Amino acid sequence: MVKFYCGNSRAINKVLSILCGLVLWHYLATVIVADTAFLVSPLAVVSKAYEMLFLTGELYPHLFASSWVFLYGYLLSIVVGVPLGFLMAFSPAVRDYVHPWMTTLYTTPRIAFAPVLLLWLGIGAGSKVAIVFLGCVFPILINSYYGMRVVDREFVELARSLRLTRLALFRKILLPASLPFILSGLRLALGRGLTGVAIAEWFGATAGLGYLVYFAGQTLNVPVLFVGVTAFGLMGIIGFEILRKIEDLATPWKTSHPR
Amino acid sequence: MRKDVARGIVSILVVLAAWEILARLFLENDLLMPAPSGVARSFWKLVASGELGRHFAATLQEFAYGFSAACLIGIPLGYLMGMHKWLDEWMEPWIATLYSIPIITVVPLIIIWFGIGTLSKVVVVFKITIVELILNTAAGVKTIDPLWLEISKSFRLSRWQTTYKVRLPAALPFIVTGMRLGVGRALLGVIAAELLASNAGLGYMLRDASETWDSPKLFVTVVLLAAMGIVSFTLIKKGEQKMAPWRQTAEW
Amino acid sequence: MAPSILELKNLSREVKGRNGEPFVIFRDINLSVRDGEFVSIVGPSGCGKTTMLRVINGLIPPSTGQIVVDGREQSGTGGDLLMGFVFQGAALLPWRTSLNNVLLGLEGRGKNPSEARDLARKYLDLVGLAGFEQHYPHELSGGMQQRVNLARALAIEPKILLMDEPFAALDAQTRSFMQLELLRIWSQTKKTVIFVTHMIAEAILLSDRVVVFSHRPGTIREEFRVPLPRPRDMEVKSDRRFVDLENTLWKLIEEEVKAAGGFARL
Repeated sequence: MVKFYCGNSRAINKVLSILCGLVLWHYLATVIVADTAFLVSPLAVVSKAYEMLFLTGELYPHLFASSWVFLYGYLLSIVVGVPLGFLMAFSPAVRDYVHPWMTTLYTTPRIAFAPVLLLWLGIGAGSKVAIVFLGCVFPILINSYYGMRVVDREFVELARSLRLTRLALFRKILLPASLPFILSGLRLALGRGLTGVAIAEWFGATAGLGYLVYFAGQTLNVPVLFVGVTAFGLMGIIGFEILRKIEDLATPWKTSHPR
Repeated sequence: MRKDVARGIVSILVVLAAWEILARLFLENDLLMPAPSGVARSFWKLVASGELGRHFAATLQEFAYGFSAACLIGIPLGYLMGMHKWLDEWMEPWIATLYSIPIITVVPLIIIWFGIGTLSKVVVVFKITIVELILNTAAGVKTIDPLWLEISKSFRLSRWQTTYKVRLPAALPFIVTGMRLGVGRALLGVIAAELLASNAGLGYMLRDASETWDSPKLFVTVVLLAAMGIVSFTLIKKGEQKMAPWRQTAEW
Repeated sequence: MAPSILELKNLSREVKGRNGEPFVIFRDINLSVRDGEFVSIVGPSGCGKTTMLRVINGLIPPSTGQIVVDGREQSGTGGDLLMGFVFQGAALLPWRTSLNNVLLGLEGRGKNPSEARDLARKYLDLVGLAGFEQHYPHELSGGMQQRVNLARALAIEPKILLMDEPFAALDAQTRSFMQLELLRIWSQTKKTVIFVTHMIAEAILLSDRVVVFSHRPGTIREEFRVPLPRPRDMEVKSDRRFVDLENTLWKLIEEEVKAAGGFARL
């Protein structure tokens, strides 16, 4: 029994930490703060989540609205980012001309573009997808570019030595070699995309988790606010796990995940 | 001049010129897309009236307070987490939770807690930066090559000397990486918080301009934020390369 | 006397140096290799022997001269697949199993898949890797990776095998075993081999003929026929003729190194 505890001290510590934290949070909320417009106990959050999920069902429209915006923006950035990244890797001219704009768009706090995109695309789905897209596309693009660039020189020589066609070189060597990089770009894009969803739904939305959080903030509805934040966190974790699975399936030769 | 730099400049000039021409020829008013010249005019007007300076200073101040507080607390905390396994295990679930929640969603909560003044923005910057700093500092301390520690033992370095001469320099590049990641995200956070509720700062200006349909002002703010992003990113990247030239850093 | 299968005529390669002047990597290479012959090229580091091997394979274009294989002049990487290249780093694609790595050169050449598969298996067997077909490169030792590398080059059934210091990254013991393996495989396949190495003993043990390169720019300094009978094993290393040739070659390379400014400059 003792041995069992020693072997799992890491897991035990983590569970203890979570339990202690939750108890502390509960104590803080109910005894010290004791103001539900300020902080509520984790139990209140759980019961609110239960209510919104199983009694009123009011969480679902928000969940679906956010998921769609996220998926469209994310897929669009893959469709645009990967080929553009490859193109930049193959053509120095394209790279040099695109580079300054990319640096600008990438390093600017994305939220600055939200009002501009709203102005151009209206408050419909277009502007929301565009904001998510703007968040996701650069990590994907940069990683695709980088993955293509760092392909081992000997692999390219190998292809030439075996007289492979250009298409075969791309399909059999360059593409699989850059796959781990693209996947890690997808991972980076995940968090940025969710942030994008939240930003997008602050502006003139009528549904979505971002809207839920925003509205709850304006009306000081702390339990709903916590439910919304938790839902975002869970979406991130689930997305991350899905990507990890894809990574394991797509790159079985990898023993560890690149960062 | 290097070819890639020349091409970059050409690219920027061509787009700006095309934008100016299109805006003058085809756009009736500058609501949708003010011409660069209009943006520049608006910029000077905002500078002359002192409005821009006031908002810029407000954002900078919030940023500086939050960032330095995060460095003061985050780096030692991350270092301790890297050194002591139990602390790492106790902190990890909470740090991971903070990390996996999009920062933006917590902003309304922080505003409820800390009001619409400067403090809530400082807290936002602090929260974002400290997570990055703790994670990266701890990673830097944890991933130190055991060989270096053996070398310090074999040369009989004291605990303090090992910390000061081996562990900290080894972790330094990681710490700077944490700072770089922190700066970008914190800038986003502070603008978001100002946009949501405040009476000063660039985020406020963004909201104000978009609510009053003042497109030139909106674009001035966007360009200014872009400049801030590029400058801070470039500075930290330079610092990163100087401190750890052997380490490959992000190209962008 | 078998006819020559590979003919290098006045082959040279130069690139633009840092100050704009031409920088000669190797020049005036004239070499004729018989079918089934094992020729080693030795020389000091940086003498251009590896570059020459790449030029022969068409990976890099020559500045002047001709490469004639089996009576036909070669240019670039067009044309038929006449040469197999064994890379210094094994250059195995990490996402392909051993079998699929060997198959890389066989795919899309009008062979039906099962035929190609059988061929790949046959050569994996030959290099002693039966049973490792489904292993990924990271699951193989350095020596095994080089065996796959060799099998891949053999599987395209080339006329000539070009080997670029294939054992350089292996430890001394594995290296010796691999040399013996290569002797066995060569005796079974009777391929023509051009083998680049910087290890004199390795060159003598394996070859019919050893070509010594001079230091930069690389030229053929001298050629030696190896006067040892086959089949050979490690005992041949203590043979009087082996030791004599090793000493002669060593002195020659030492001269080249001295002419280049000493070992520290290499």
